[in-house]
Amino acid sequence: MAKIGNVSSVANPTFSDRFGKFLPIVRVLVVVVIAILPFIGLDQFWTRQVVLVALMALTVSGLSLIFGYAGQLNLGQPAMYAAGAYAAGYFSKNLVNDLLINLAIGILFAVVVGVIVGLPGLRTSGWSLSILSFFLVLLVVPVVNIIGAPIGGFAGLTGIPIPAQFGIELDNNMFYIFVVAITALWFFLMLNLIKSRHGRALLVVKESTVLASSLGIPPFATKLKVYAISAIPSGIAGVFFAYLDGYVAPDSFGLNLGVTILAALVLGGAVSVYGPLIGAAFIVIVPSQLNSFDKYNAIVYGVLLVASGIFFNNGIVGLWNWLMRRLFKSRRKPETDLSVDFSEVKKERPQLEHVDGLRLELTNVNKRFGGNQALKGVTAVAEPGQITALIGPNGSGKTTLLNLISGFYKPDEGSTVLIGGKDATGLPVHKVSQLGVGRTFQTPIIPAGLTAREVVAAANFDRHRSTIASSVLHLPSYRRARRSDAEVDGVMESMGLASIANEPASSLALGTRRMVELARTVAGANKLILLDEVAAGLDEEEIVELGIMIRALRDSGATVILVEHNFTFVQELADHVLVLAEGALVADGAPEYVANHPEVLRQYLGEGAAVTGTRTQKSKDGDKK
Amino acid sequence: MTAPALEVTDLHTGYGDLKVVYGLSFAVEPGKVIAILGRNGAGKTTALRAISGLNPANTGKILLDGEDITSIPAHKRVSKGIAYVQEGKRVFRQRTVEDNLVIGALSVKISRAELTARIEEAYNRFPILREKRRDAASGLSGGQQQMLAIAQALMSRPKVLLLDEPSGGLAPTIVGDVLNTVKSLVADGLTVVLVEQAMGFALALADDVIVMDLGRSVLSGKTTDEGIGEAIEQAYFNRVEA
Amino acid sequence: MTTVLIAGLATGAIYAFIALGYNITHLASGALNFAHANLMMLAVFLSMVGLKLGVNAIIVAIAVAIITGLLALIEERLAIRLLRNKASQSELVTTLGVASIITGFIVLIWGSDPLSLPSGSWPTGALDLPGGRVQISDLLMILVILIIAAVLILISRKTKIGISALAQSEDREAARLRGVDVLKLSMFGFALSGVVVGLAAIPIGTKTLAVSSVILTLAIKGFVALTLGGVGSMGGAVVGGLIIGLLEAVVERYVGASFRDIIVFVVFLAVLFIRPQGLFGTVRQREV
Repeated sequence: MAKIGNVSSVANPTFSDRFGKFLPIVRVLVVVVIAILPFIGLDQFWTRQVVLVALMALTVSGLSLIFGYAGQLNLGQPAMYAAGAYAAGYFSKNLVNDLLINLAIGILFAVVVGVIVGLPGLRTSGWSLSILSFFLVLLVVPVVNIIGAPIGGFAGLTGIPIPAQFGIELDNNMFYIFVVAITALWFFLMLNLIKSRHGRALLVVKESTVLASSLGIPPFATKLKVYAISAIPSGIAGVFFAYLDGYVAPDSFGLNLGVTILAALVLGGAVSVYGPLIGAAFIVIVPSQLNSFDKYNAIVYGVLLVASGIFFNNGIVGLWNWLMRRLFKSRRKPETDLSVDFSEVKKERPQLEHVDGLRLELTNVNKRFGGNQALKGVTAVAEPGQITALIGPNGSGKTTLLNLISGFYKPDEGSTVLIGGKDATGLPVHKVSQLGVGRTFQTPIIPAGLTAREVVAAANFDRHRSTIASSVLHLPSYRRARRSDAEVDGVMESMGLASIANEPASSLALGTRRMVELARTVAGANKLILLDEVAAGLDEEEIVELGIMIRALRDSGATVILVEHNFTFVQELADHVLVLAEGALVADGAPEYVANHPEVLRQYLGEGAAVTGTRTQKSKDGDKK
Repeated sequence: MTAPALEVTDLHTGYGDLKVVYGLSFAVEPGKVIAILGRNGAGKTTALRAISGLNPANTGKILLDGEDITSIPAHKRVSKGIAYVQEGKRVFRQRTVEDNLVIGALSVKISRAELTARIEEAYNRFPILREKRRDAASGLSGGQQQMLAIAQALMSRPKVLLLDEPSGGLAPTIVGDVLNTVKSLVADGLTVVLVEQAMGFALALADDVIVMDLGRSVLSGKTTDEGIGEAIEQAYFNRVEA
Repeated sequence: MTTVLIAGLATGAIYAFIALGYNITHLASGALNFAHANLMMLAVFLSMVGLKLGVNAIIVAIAVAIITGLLALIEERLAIRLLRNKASQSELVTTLGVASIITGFIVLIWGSDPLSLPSGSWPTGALDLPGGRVQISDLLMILVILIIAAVLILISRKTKIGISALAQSEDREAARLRGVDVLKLSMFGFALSGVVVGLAAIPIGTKTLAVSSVILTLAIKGFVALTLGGVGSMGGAVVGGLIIGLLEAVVERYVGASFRDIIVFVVFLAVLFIRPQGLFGTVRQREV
């Protein structure tokens, strides 16, 4: 088994690998230095600037989480910001003036608003989601007006007291320290979250909800959690904002603020933890230093947004990463696709962890799409510890059947799908996956921003659960999860993929991508494995390796279902063959029986089979074992 | 020997960074049919996409009737005389049958009268389409949609037709109809590049045949060659097993 | 009551107009242009300048149409054509950027206070109808927008370019294979949306005044109208816009101004939940 490696995330691995040990200490030192600045001479103006940067950075960080990592362009930050500010303002003025308590209250209100956007956001996507969230910002003023006098209405909420903690009033410098400390705390927690499997899960959800649910990641629940979590920093910022000037006005939370936050994000770098800090620093400090900047800021922000689509790749952070890659350059030529030469790989069959395979039972499975009856009364069984091949000409329904088993399609009335004895008919995809079902896709789905190792480790997301809280706080269940991630290295080594483990998965050639997807099913110790045309596009060596791994999976006890087009490949590998044609099962039995079945020959070769006397038997040389 | 209607030389293509086709070369004479066979993932459709212009050719040349069309964008190649019928009975489902035919003629500058004449011709060749002319294409059966797809492509009077798995997902009797339709088109002088997985269909139609595997041409010959059937089968199914 | 209704229809017509603009670029290229409302307001300001110089209204309209048509074309080349990748709402971000730039210029040149078009540029005066008094300019504006919608519907169904756009919006690749130049079509769509904006600027500007602060609100509500009517449907855009406008007017008059935007938000939510494809849009089959 390979050494336990650091599961690196989207930051450039070589830089972190070299300096990684020192980073936590450096971070704490930086925070301490910033915190004591007022006491070593920083004037009032700059103290306030730092606070403003912190406030902006918090809000931008929330957007980074929901947009950069989860791919949802939620422009409603000003609304959550407002919720936090008004809640804290009202409570501190009328009920209790305790900074930490009001932080909690502000966060609560912001999260509620965040979820209000999130719930419809689950059902919509793209423009509708973004406009909906933007619209929420428009509603701040009317809602404030309707609530009216208690929160000051149109004129604003005045008379917010000086912040206090445990009865002690905080002067400017003490307030400053609080802001710095809590902002730093948030960013440390963000770092832990992003580097954990939850951060990777977000990138998977961002890339493809199909892939996410097939890995057992419930897309809706995950998205909702992110909406809630990404509202927290905006709430915190709102609370501080209320205390900062003792006054909250509804026109501080307009659509223009939303644009500013987005501009800060793309400038700093959307898929990064530090990006929001950098972007916020620029957006707050630069305008304050240039006298007539106010007149031009809309234009500048606009140009930043346009440029982000054309030039930037992750803003300033992206630029830094690019520089680092140039300085610590790896030897390979960038033009060639990364791939593994499998002739170098040992060809022994690895011993995989034993699993209790799930028996698959299909009874009378029908599926209709509009006018097209794609599956007609399919009844079949796939046993554990066996390789069951599902073959048939194009359009026969094999992929439909596979997708139906996965849960992407619900079968029509009267159909039954039993997995391991449990009724899985009509179960949603992530629930089917959670039963222990894993699969590969005809075109490998490779999330952007993950290394090959992280793609394989994604299999563990469901296997060894750890909650977000435990990941962020590094509790024991997180450590157990980290150990299971380490087993991933062992799997990759046994499949000959260790050499590309740290490379971005999107840079891999097709054959290697397929092997990485296969490695993921191996690492997931899946009990029912669905392989969709996994041999397509592989060269001879890769096919040999593929055959070895598929047999190893079978020997571990799993139920393996292989959708394939190449009949000879199937003959060599399968214990049991199902033949589909035009949605119906035409043959079901051992490979030899199926190979000589007249209906199969007719379906495969179609009209004119008699023309050249073709057969589907192996060539006479018999040189295959 | 007549100049080839379509000549592909050393074609390398793929999808962005993903290389799929390596050095494919073939030529087909006017009025002849060449079949490209091979397993799923061999690169057959990718090759057609490059010939039609949907995918760029990284290297290589494509000559249509002697003219180099390699750098010409897809929408312009149609007016040069090459039309691609994609797999999966791809028609514009939300548009009527007649609109689909009109769309087929978008690439050519013809008068109103000529357009009407060509539409009439299409209906004569495919009577079922006349019946359904005002219906949305989504209401047609699979076989009818395939006919519409072919009829649509013919509206621009192509010299070369690229047909991708026309038999896909169709019942055997319908496949027979499609086969006969293409046969009659070839008899009228159309040059066809046919990609198929159903070997029988392809061989019943083709004069020349190529088998592709892993993006390369591993076998080429004439369907009249001695022992071609066995040779194809060898190339098609022959894999090294573990 | 009539006053309220007509005023509501007038505002609704403006929302409809913006939704029509979104439809034009969407049909032509699949792109939605968030800066459309900004272009519209810019056209109003430019028309104001032209009219103040004493130029004839028709000539102003044509001149402004040419200018905004060109600007829209430039936007297409920069914000749409050059996009590095189409992932995660890049178009929304870049067109939002263009929107911000346009607003920035408007405020820089003309300030943020509302300005009105010179009197005499467009028929004014009021009409006494049963139920109340209505502004003639409102009625005319509604008429202009309905005519524009009708022309757009005709173009999309009956012209070669219209059919190309319909084909493109259904299956871009297949359209390319049948001879549709999708890049030119995209440019045409943007240019057309810019031209339409210029031609309608005077009637619209009479109602909205030349002011930057309402732009984002119009852009958002225009999108709600688009969603309600169904993306891709010109008729739907009109119906959607008029419904929203009417609803707003009625709520504002009989419930309270603060509830106006909230009700539109609720309608938006309802559409997204109950019938996401809108009244006249089409449902697409999901593919795995």
